[in-house]
Amino acid sequence: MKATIRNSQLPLRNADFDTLVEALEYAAEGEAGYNFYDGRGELFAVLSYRELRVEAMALARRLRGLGCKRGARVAIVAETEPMFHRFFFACQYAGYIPVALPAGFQLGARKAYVEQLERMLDSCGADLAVAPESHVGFLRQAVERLNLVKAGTPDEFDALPEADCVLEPLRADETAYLQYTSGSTRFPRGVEISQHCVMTNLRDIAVHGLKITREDRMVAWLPLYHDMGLVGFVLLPLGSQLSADYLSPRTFAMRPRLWLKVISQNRGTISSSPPFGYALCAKRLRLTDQDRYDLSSWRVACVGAERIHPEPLRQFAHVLAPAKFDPRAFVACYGMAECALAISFADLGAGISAIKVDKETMATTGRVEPLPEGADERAEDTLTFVDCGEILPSFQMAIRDDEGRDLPDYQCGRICLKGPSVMSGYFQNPTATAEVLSKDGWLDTGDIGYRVGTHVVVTARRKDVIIVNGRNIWPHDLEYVAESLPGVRFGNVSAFSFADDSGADQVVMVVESRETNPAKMRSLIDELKSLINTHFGITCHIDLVPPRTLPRTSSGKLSRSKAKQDFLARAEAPQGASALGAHG
Amino acid sequence: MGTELAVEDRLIALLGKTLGPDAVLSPATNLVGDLGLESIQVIEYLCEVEDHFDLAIDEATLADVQTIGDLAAVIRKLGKD
Repeated sequence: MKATIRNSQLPLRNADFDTLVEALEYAAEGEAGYNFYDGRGELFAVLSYRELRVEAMALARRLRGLGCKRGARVAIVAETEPMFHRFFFACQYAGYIPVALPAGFQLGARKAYVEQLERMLDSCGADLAVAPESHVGFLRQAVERLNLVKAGTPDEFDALPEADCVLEPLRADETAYLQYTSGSTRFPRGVEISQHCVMTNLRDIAVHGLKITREDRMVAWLPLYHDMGLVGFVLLPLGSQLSADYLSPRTFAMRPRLWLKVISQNRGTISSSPPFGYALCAKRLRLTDQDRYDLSSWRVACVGAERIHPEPLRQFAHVLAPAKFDPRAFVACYGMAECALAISFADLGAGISAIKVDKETMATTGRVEPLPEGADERAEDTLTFVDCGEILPSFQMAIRDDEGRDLPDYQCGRICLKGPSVMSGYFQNPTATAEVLSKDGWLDTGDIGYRVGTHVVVTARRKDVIIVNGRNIWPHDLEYVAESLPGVRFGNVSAFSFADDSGADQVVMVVESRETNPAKMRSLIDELKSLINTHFGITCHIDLVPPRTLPRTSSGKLSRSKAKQDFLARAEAPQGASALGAHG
Repeated sequence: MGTELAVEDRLIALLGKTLGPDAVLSPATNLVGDLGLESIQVIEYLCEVEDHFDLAIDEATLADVQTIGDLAAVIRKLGKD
């Protein structure tokens, strides 16, 4: 088996197509395609764009034979295997809407994962669902109470007869896919992205963000159900006819060095990760390994999906200097599923541009005063942010205060965006859509930041969302799980996160309890920690407080931001060290 | 019987390397709940386990593993196949 190569003859077209099918039809004229590497870093499957086109069209006819209406949703459990690409593009040809679902991996988490699948399948109204052999058991359990036309393995779909029909691929004004990156697991929201929306974003990324040339090759271990994986490393290489090499997320987590190996051996030029990926890789590198790789081809190492701290990146660049990793390859970027993928990229070849600002001024006035380089400020008086670069040309940006007024440069507020790459809305959820998308097309991202001309600096992501190792965790999901425990009452829990001294997110849950017996308090804390760990795979500090301690608004709603302030105040008070220490 | 104990002992020894000498471990120890391991640490541990026993454990199987004893049972089964 041999990996696909760069196109030798086909002229580069940077995503100037109206639909994904048009993009595939063109890419199929060349030699490039997708390559899949296993848990030991060996190539186990190759799918050229040419083969993908033929296989997707045949599969589209089989799906059409099941008689679903145009626009029917097809859920695909997105393991990093060729079947994902085949089903995704079969939908494009058949006129159906693909929905990538997480291919979960958590020890002992069968029940939680099956429930998550069931809620997503229900929320998108899936008619068809497919999962690779490894995950089909979960899928079959998840569809038991739902009314799907068919759910099964790729083989079961491949065994269907091809319908005798003329394929009518999805048109530019139709939906391209639904994305479940956004929102909580309990109330999943499917971001609806049209063909026109995703093609605009791909073009912006290819031409302005990454300046893609025919020499480029992409490498990824990102999950394909995540916007960075799906749009960045399935659709972007297709739109620009590049070859892409994949490792599964699990392979990366187990053996992060394989990421470097694949980039090195295939001369990869573009590969991205949330900050934690770089940190994990640096941590697990053996000292004797550094010069085994040649990373000199890696020209774009995007960093995104969570707030960026410069230090772990510096560390990564430092340990991989002997492998010729160029720190100027780091490109800070900002994006979200609601905008297909990308909103801004820092300048290529410039590396990470860290900005130090005065903490006190920012906290009291929301105004940012960048400190001159080398300023003699104490670390505890400053905050460090990263310039996420210039917004892509198809967007308009506004920074707004809570009353919706536009703010000037250097003033922190809500980042709002408008343009053709903004989603159509949350699928069949007008209430959630109206909360973020105004009638005149402005998306309130929920992120906080400031602008300097057309550059954006993100200072806090999604008011409430907790990000651990690149995963979004929603506070009300944590609270809901805690409230299921006897002895914890509904509405008496508040979860949030804060950045510790190293900049890492620490998760805290403040729980009101009438319990005063120290041994029983201890066991309640242990039970809560264990429960959260089983459901979310994270360590959570539990702070037990007496009833009526949690701050409420005048309408009786819990205030998370106030609960966090109170908690930090308790933690800083000398006798309150237990909030972080003994309570764990 | 001797080999059965050996798998659990080896799993405990491997886990001890991650958690340090103070960790109290038994076949009944719940890998996720009792130890408070982050999912990334669980994966690192599984990586060591797979390397040590030279086998691969798929996701569907792992989703039903709670304790060290469960994991030992999986390894014995895979070893026989």
